[in-house]
Amino acid sequence: MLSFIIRRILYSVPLLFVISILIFFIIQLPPGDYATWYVSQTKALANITQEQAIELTKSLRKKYGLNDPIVFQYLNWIKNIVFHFDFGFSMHYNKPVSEMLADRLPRTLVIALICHFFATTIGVSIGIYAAKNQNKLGDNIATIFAFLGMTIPRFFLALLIMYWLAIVLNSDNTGSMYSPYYAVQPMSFAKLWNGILHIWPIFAIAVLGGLAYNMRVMRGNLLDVMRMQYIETARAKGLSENQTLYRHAVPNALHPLVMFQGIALPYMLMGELEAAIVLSIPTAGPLLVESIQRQDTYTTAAILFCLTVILVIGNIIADILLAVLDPRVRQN
Amino acid sequence: MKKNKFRSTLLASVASVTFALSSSSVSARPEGATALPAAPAIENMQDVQFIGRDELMSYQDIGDFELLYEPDYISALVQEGKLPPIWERLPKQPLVFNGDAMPDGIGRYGGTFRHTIGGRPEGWNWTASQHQGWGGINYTVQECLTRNGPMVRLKSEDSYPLPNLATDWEWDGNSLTMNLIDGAKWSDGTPFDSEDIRFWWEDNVLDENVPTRMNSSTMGEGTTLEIISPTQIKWTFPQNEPKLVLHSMAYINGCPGPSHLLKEHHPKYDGTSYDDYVAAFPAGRLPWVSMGAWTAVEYKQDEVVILRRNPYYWKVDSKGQQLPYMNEMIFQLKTWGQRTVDTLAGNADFSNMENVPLYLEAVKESKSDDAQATLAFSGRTMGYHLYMNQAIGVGVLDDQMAAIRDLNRTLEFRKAIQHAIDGKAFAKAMSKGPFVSVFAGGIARDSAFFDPDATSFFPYNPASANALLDGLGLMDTDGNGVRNLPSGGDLVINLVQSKDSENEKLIGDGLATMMAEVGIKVNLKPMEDTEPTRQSGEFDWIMARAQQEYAFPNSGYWSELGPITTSSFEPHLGTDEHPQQLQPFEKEIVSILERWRDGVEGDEAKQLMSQYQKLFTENVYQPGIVQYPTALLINKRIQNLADGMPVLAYQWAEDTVIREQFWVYQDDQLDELFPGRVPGIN
Amino acid sequence: MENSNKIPNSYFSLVRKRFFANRVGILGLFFVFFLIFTAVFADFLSPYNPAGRDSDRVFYPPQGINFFDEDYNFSLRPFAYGFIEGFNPDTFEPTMETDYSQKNYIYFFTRGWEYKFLGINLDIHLFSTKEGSKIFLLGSDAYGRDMLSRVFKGSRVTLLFALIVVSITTVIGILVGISSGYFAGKFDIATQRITELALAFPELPLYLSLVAILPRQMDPFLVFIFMAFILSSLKWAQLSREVRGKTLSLRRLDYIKAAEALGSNDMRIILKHLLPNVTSHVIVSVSLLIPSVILTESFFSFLGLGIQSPFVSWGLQLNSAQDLRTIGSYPWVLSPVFAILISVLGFNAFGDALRDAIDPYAITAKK
Repeated sequence: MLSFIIRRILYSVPLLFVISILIFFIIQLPPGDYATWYVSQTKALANITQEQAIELTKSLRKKYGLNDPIVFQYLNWIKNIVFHFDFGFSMHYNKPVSEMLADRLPRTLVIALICHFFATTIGVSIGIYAAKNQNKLGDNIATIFAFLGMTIPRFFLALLIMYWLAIVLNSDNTGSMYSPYYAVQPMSFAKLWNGILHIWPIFAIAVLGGLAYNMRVMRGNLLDVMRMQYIETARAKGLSENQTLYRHAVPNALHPLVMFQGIALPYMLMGELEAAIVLSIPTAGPLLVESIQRQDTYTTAAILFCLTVILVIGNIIADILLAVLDPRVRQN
Repeated sequence: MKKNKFRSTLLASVASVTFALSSSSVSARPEGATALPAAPAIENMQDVQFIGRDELMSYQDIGDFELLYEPDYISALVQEGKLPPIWERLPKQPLVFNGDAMPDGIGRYGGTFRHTIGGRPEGWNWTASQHQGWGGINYTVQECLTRNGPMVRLKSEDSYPLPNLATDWEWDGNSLTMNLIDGAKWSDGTPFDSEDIRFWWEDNVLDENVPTRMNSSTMGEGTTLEIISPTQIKWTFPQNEPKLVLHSMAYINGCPGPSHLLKEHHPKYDGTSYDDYVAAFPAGRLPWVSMGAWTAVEYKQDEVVILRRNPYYWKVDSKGQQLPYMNEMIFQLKTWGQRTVDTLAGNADFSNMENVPLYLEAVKESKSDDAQATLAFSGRTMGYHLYMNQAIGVGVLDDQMAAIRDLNRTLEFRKAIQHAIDGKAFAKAMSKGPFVSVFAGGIARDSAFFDPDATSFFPYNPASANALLDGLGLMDTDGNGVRNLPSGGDLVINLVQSKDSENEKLIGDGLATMMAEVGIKVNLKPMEDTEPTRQSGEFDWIMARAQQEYAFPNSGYWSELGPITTSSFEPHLGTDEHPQQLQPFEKEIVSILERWRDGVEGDEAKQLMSQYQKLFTENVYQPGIVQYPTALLINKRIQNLADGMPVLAYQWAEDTVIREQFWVYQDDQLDELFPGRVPGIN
Repeated sequence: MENSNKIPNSYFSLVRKRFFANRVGILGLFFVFFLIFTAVFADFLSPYNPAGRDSDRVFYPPQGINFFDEDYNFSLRPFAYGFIEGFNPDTFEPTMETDYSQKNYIYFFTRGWEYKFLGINLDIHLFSTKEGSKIFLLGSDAYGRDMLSRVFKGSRVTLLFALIVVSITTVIGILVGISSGYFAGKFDIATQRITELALAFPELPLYLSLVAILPRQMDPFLVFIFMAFILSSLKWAQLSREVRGKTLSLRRLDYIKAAEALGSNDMRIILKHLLPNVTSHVIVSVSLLIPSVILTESFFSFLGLGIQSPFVSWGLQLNSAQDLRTIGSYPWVLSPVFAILISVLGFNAFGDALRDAIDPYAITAKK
């Protein structure tokens, strides 16, 4: 078992390495670099002459090492990340990228995990209910609900919620993570509650989609399992319907769901990003969109890289869970 | 050569005025042009109550006041010995705002004021052109030599910049001697004096390594500054009495920073490098020091900036109360769109409404019984031009762009484009109310300098547009619905616009359709930040918002009215490699602007602008798209907002309304977030 | 019931039987057909030119169709009333009153605006109105353009985009999947790693970054094509993994081994034996891929990053409707979302039912 885990983790290292190269390469592709962006900003604001502009570009390039061959720039970057947790400098926010990541990533991750938890538990429960009451009213409602959850564009939901909050309710809790008072206070239960009041739409939207998937998969699996021989046997043995269900059917139906977790986490994460971008709530999503548009290369690269790492870790955990449940996988 | 031009221009303007006076309705308009159609009246437009300079403000000895006042919590700190008493904190002659000129009278202390802004603070080193997020926060912390925002309230004979840190000045030929306020202190108690001005001028503006808002030639090549004493400075300009430089000494150019703190990082003193100098004052470095009414005490990235009253503020009201009245100011960091929504909902107190599609909604809401904000429209002074790039070579990346430049420089082409613009359709799309009107380009229709007789308007007429385009030889040779250039390719034009502006998104959509109707294919290029493109000249067409320059040409932005320098007019830039190639009417415009720079007043100024307008509109220099008013939204509880304050005049409304005069009745005051907090003390 | 004389059913007829027993699947199939039909015949179905401005009919609400007028006179030809626009100067509210004097009659199979179909100039439409009268079934937008016609036009863009992405994804996915599963060995390991790479990338962030790379001067149609490529760059991986899995299990079957023993060359085995058996799964995967492509494209156009004017895309229409005034005052401008819903629903239902029909005992996790 242990060797399986180690093997799995070791597999991921070269993967992450290759990905980091790709990310860095992609970031360099847009024409111009930070130096040109900065200089055009300064030219616009400070009325410097063309010669001054060229001088400024040169000095900036030297300072940020933008003149070095790409390979050196990359090695520098990856070395800093791995050994110093230094993700570089955000030119736009005028502070180290690691500070901004420390600010935004944890909350993004926490939100994603919470959404994942609720989507799974609620979805599975509804799925079991729907399977038990197959083709009756409860099942049909649940199915319709599931379809809606999977098909309504999440950005549209975010738009509707924003309208409702801003125009209908005149709510103050829009467009930010905390109210001004709590923003500058250290964490406390009151601050937590204030935060929830602000970001509940993200939960609602992300959970809705994920919940629908889980429900359908659970329902489908359970129905299939219920037709199996061993269920017949269990019933024949005299177990009650509920006992049959929960002791034999559900655990077997859950099995494929675990396999599904590897896909569920990214889906949850993307849903959260989508909702946060539309609602302008400062998590990783809006930061990514902004930094791309401002060509704040190190920030963009750092966020891309961290999100990838999170997903890879999520996949590893999912695989490990699967291996725990299914010994055949371990042997592979 | 120049002198002859000047004379002939003057003659021409005199002639046109005489002509205009003698034949009011019939001007010699070119074929196809009409007068600019009248626009419906807008209800809710307030009139400005004009006052004289001395009625608004003055400087008085603190000894002249019977009593000096400050808020209770400040007095408490004075008792504890943590702050010096008020007569030591104020300068010898504080700036006094006259209570009689205040719309709601002398105010009471207390309360908090909430802004919502979409910008994010770069840092506190505004001397090195860092901004603090815009939307009013820059204005709050930056106090400058002169002040031109509140000029809108002044009678026309008094209409020139107000004193601020410079209390009074005297012209003598080329030189300007200015007296600075005596005994004023920065918000940490350090004295303010001419050393701060000298540091700003010599070690920032003149130092090429520091990115500053103005450079050594902004007020004239060879301008010099001499420090005579801690409270007196003397400027020497290359021209004789260039009055407009007083605007250059107001926000955003003439605002000194605290030299005693900035010097620590300036390479000429204790600093290590220029990059370090710019980067050493991030927004998180608190509390910062300023001469403003409020100073920053708290900051959370992407969330909020909180400012508290400055105990050393050097302005009082005529009763002797130290300003500001409100103790606290908050800037919620969200988006610009959120600003209006928040103010309508009562979650913020102030918004400049420029997003036309929201106007009707806002008016509706402000009329309802539980409305939180009041709404006041200003005249139609904002609008959009379609800037057609007429520079040869600058920013041209391929043959297609070069061909478009040639077309842009052709009068018939520009006329055709103006004929293809359906202004009424834009107006209706932007808002169903009476707000938006058609625009001929050039001076704004509600500007004091607008001359309807000098304006030629080429109305919506697709038939004329098609005829003109046909006449230029731009036929659809391959039958795909798009006209072809002489070289054979399709006539495809890229239109740069701002990505997040609701106005521009709407206009862009309509423009693309309208141009397609006359056989021109327009590709929309929305950009997050259009500034680099504008500065580099790498565009065919750009959607350009017409702001102060066209409504208040006597403000600091006048140079953006034409290609008077190689970088002042975006649709006609010049570089060493590709110098400007001005057409005859452009040269006439430049000479008008040169005359303008030297300073004209009264009727002569109006005549000059009429001449400008005639040249601009007859030649369709830049087609006009729409013209619209702006509206000021402010929370109902705020007192002392003067009538008719425009959203954008010499400055944005946040400066024009003089926020240090705002006050709120005790019962209506909102709870402060940090009551009793004083920057740097507790 | 007598079964004994029945000829054993072929694979396809079995699948068909099972599919049509699923009511939701039939609904999905109907929606898919409707979408394709709409996209192909968009111009025929649209009563008005999608780019046709009408300054007199800005932001008209959807008009109801009547057969009876206010005096209860019956008219065989359906019609809709026009509107009188007003403006209340006190409340500053624009007013829309039904104009009972103006009847806009609907004519079927009538001549209207001109369009090109397969190179031929046509002007016949399913329904339209006579010159001067207009009927807006979904209302009109800021420039008086017919929402319905624009939604139809948008379906072309959406379907075309989905088609391109699906084509690229299918080709690459099958190529990589089959060769990886069939040839195995080092080649398989290498491609496996690449597949994992593609699967590990977070989709949305990567797309956002790549879209930013597209040069500013690019022709909008090229931008469109590039976006399709960008979306395909990750989507092929999931498909290739599934195809590989299926190929691996097929390889072990006896008749394949027999073919190999007989000396059939690889190409023949792949084309004649593997590919047909994999096809059904590919169709299912692709049907379930399309909804996510549609949603992603809509999101990007909604953000203003994807398709631009003069193209019409549902996401782009929602982008124009993004300001809060529209949602409150002119909510019909949001109607393209229903088009998205129907498309996504249709493909999802269709794909689900198809999968159930092909392999009813499969317990698989699905994307």
